[in-house]
Amino acid sequence: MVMRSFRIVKLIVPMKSKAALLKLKDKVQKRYGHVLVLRTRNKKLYVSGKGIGDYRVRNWILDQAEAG
Amino acid sequence: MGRLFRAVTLRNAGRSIMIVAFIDSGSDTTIISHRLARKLHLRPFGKDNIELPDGRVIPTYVGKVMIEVERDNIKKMFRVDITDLPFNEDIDDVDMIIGVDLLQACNIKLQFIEGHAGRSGKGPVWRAPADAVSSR
Repeated sequence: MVMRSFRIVKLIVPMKSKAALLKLKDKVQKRYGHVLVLRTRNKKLYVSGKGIGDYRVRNWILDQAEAG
Repeated sequence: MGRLFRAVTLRNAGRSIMIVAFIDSGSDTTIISHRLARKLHLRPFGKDNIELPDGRVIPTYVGKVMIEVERDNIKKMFRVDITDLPFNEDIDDVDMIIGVDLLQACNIKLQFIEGHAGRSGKGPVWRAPADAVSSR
């Protein structure tokens, strides 16, 4: 039987540098800070909170990370 | 109640695979197996932690792939999660689960219509908009 109903609880975004990481964190905070919880560690951005279940939020963050 | 499947073509890096995907309206995200990701030479970027129905949280990779549903004229570059766990005990022989993210992005609606599918006489129907062609 296929297991179903998956819920995204956390997104982990790797960045090349600490500067790029902080820049991304600021961008995400400005746009989705009210629905997301952001943490940084080891050049990775950890995103959680109720907003992360929305695919548009996740895609926007990953697009910004790939561009930066 | 009937279960809903759809023939889907995945494309990446000049490779193309046609598979049958299972539609799960309770899943936040669209998921493919590692086997499929390897065949398509998908390059993951980023990771997700996904909570399963039993409460376990598992890590998955995130990759970008072109998803085509020829029957509904849908063509979309989309991010999918890559993990093997949901497919381990698989008896339906599927390598892909379509979640609500893809349904929303392509404006596809699931309707439960009496007398359509399943032995009970009730089942889900996939309704794609007439102008469903979309791409990023």
